[in-house]
Amino acid sequence: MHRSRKSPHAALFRGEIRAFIARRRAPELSARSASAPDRAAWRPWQAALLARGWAAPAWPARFGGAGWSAWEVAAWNEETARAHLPPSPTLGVDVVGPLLIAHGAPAQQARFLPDILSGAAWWGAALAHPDADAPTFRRAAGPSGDERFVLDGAVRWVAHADLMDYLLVAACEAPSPGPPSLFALPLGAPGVALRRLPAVGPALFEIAVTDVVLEGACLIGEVGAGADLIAFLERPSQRDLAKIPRLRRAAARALAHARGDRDLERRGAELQIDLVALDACARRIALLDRTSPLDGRLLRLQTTRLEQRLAELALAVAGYGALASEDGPPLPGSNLPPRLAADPPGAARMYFDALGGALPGARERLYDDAATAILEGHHG
Amino acid sequence: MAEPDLQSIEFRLTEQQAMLQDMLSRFLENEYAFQARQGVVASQAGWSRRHWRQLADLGLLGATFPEDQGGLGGGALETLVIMEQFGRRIVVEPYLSTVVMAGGLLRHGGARALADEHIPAIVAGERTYAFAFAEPQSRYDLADVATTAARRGDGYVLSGKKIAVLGGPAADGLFVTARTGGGQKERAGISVFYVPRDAAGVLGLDYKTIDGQRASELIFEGVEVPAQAVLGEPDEGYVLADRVIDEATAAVCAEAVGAMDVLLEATLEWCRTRITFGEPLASRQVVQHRLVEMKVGCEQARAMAYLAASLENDAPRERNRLISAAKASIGKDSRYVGQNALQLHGALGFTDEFHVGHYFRRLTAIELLFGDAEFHTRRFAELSAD
Repeated sequence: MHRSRKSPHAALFRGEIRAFIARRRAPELSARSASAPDRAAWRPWQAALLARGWAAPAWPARFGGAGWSAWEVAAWNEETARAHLPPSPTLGVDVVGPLLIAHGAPAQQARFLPDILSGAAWWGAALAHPDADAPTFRRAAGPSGDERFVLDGAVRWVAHADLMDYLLVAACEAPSPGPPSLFALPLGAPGVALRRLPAVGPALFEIAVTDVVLEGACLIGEVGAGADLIAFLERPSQRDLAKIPRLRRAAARALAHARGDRDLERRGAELQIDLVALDACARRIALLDRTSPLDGRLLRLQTTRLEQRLAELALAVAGYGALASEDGPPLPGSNLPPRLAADPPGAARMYFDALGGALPGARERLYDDAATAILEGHHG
Repeated sequence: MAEPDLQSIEFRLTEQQAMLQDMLSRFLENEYAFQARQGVVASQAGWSRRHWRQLADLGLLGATFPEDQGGLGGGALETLVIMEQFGRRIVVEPYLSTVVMAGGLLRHGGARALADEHIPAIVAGERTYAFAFAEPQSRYDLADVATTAARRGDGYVLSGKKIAVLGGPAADGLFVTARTGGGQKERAGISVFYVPRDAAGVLGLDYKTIDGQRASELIFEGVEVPAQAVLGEPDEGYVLADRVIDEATAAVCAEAVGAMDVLLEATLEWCRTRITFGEPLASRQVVQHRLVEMKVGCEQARAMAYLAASLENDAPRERNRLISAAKASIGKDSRYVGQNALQLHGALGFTDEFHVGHYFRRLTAIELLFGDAEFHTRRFAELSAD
């Protein structure tokens, strides 16, 4: 069916989304839950989305997705941002689903996709900068002769790992390290141990992996295909696109507190213009269905940079208001009713989170990989 | 925040627009290679009537005029296609002043007799025109008009000074903003007049611009024009001028994209092949990262040029706001791309016999036209406030 993005269809579509959000959104979901995701708060919302057929906006309908076109997904992203809904805290719908749809075996798709759609399984990823003791795997046979994999090693510094059911990890085959393979590591499996490291921004986790036995379905793609799959993950994703309207909204909110301060207003206008440019760029990439890793890297480079500038602006706008930690209740002995000392709330948290935002694909690596692609003549 | 402000942007060309692009690209490749362009710039007139006629023969000068006036009925996306190709070859013929600005005034001006007289002459490539709106004190404020048009009998008498009249030296006719009422910076009370270039009392100082084009400073000393020389209603010319300058701004945004792409391509090739201290320039990480920033700039500029070309149906305030976003953004990105193209090429980039410096000059001129990044950032901020 051809659905035009020209009005009036576009306006109707938007109205439908708006009405659905107004009716079904869980009040517990707010901007706050972006940096402190709460699975209980997400459950009813994900259930409502699933019932409506909108649990995965960008997936094809035959996998249970909404089957929306690029402009419809863009409208969805704008409307959810408008309603202050945080971006999905799990990589399941936006990143892992598309990977399994493109590269997973049918049995694997049947095994993992339904739980991603329903929100029963949350997914994270730890693919950047493998350490010297990054996991390795060896092959083993299961009771009925099926192929299994045994993982050993450590995965470091993963945010929100305590909330995740699966982690995408790359591992090389032991003892002779070949090219990496990509696995879904169930974090509840025997042999997986998490250590929590309080941090600037969300807590990070160190994950020890000791003789963890994985069934064959946990290998994504072929053995040794990890590099290609990681390149797939670097293409522009719904995760990248969902972020941009939220940044635009957050910039407008931050600026609302800066009215009258010409310097801050000026700085805010520059940021907003850069965000419009990023938005236009991302839309163009999505509408033209451009899928090169280079496009993804350029988008991410600019997004993380503007995210950081936005957070710096919010910090400047808040001033003293950014000083109070938002962790925990007031200290004992306080005799005023509890309220948020941070005013407006979230400025310092946004700043700390934004600095970490560049880490999953560390900025320098984004530069290096983008330069290689550009010099090789991949122009997009 | 206005929303959804980017929904209706067309980021792709129709088949016909793509054909127009191909045709123009091939024409310029054959007729407007860098050496040929340099010949045109060095000529007495500084532009080529032969090329102008060829553009008319190809239908390009009429691409954006209605079919009942001899045009092809195109719009802002056709302008984008044409201006981007002109940017790729830094074309100096007076398309911006004649077709985009004067043509825009005639299309939107609601003066049928003037349109019927001048549009066919533009489409046929017979006459060129210029729009005189900037004044010594006005900077980028279109409403700051000190030139006066006093009523005399059935007509008006124009007095005042205009600067930076693009395409002025070659123009057969001028469109001029002048005050028929109101105070010096008021939007109300501005009218747009048609004045033949050879009218009595029009004095001109013609000069070359920093990018090899031509412009004029004009003084109007009691220039008499008839009442029919007004485009649209008297006193209401600001709305018309504002719309046309927004369209011209969108046009130079597209032109900048063409020029930026050429600079990026040239710089990539240079950095791949230029060996210094035993290694290609591109092997240095600091150079690589600059190339990535240039690429980001080119991608953003292209997306913003499409945004600027998608505002034909927006209300003036929202159109102003997004045109400002586009011009400010492209202004910053084109400066980055231009400066780095020049500097990564080293001294070669600065020499006039090499093309890169000429593209840099044109991008610098475009930065200054219709408001620089500073001006447009300020206007964006003002229009974004509730």
